[in-house]
Amino acid sequence: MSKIVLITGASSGMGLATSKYLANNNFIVYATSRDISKLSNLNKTNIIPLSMDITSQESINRAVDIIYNKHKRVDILINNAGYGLVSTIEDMDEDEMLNQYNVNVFGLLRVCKATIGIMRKQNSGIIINISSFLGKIGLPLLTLYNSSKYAVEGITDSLRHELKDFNIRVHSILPGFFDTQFARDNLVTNLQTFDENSAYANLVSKLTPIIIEQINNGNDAQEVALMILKIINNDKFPVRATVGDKAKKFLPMRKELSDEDFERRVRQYYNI
Amino acid sequence: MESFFFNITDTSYKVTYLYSHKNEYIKRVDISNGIVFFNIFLQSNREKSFQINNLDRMVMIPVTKKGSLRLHDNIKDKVFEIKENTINIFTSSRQDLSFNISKAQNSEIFILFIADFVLKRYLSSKQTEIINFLYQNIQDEVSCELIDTKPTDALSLYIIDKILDSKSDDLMASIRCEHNILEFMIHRFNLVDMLDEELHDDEVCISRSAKDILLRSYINPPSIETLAHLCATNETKLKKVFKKVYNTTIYGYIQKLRLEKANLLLKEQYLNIGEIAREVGYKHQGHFSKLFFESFGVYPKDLLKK
Repeated sequence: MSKIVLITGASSGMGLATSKYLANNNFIVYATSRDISKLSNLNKTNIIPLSMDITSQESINRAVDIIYNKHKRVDILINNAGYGLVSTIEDMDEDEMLNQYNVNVFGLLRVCKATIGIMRKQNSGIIINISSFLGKIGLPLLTLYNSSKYAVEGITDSLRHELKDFNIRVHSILPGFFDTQFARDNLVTNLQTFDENSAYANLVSKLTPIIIEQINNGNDAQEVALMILKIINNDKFPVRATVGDKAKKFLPMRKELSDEDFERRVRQYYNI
Repeated sequence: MESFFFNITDTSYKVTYLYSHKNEYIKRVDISNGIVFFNIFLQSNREKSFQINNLDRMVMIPVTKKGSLRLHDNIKDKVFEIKENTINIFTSSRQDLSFNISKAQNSEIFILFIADFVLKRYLSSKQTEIINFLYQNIQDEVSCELIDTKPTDALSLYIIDKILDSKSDDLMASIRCEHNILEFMIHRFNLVDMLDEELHDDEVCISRSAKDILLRSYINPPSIETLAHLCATNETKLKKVFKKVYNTTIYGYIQKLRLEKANLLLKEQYLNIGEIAREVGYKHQGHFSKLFFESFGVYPKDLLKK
């Protein structure tokens, strides 16, 4: 019997690549997004586009109900939807602040809330949170995105305890910058921060080219798709994993080095 | 983010050939995420070089058994000549280094790299210990600093041979090799004299002159009474000060000097054990061998066998 996957943010990038890959591997994928027009012409029988706005519990419940009514189960939840706000704290406005958490943190929790009950009753399930390497390392101008991903890391660690008795596994994947539409479309920039007269102009001009370079030479979204299948197939898979060769040293370094020494490397690497 | 270390992901004892041609090689072995060594064996009478360019806090210990190398610190544009038959301790917290192995018929060079977080595990509560000194040194900005040079001794070579002889498919290869590397570090660090900065001038003065005299005369040292006289102090004070500064008795220090000398003579391989014992001031070979074993954990005859 094919397993049922619910994935958020499926219309582009890692979400789209993962949906296709899992569908090709005999999973039934409910590919959700606010805007499913991009998903409508996929013509894959195993991918079912479903409209879902993760800032609304109602919208989420409606989508989850559709899946539940059809299959009576949800085996795998992939929390992939998210975006990155690039703004200094001084410049951010109230809406930017609330929205960043509303999507990256509360959105993820809302989808968990709607599906955990189903997984608990079926006594099985896998939740995979697409976090970021920024869930374990800080960068300037990304304080809100950064902290939202630190929150995701905390959610992963907490839920693992909370759900262990119900045979539900929770994992985080910490990708680096990706050469996907995410990089181009899903970075929201604050105009003041990017104004040439901003007090942070120096920082912006140093950091931005490096980030753009990293995005252009970033990992392939397909690598995340491969890793997700590995997590699904291996119930001994580690709590969190990075993606790509470049990121391999990242988690061991974070564990072994002092905060100050790690910071020293980040500053050198990002020219900040 | 790059690092010289952290090459171990799923396996330990990872061997990488940086260069290999016929019998020659420059081999890099990652024992764990913070301990790496280079095993260099060259015969073709050509110069060879490699670079290390990173932001790692580390201690480097190049040991030249045969041949020599030039270490170029590109940050400070400074050159260190590492001569044949020496063991050197360098520190660095940010490096742009070129290692140039000089042209030689035979080059046999071992270089050990230890990350600061490895040293951190073994810090002592006594701030004056060498391991604390090295660790503190690399917490500052230092591109490349030579801390100590000593001639290569028999025991070091014996331990290095154990390190090099271990194979990646040995049972418990990684822990065995790391064990030998720690043994090497203990032995080599032990050869560095550390002085407590909080000592009084007269204490340093007395113990220094006593040490200088002993260094010249340990084969046939003066009595403690004569020694005290030569240092312009009395016996009681000399004993007390010496113990405080060098953390050992005068007799213990003489013994240390004798055994260290014997360790160097053993490396030369042209005297037998009886001759070496007499050469450093012991009348009985058996007594010498016993003391040597107690101090170094290996019998002189084992070092001579090689």
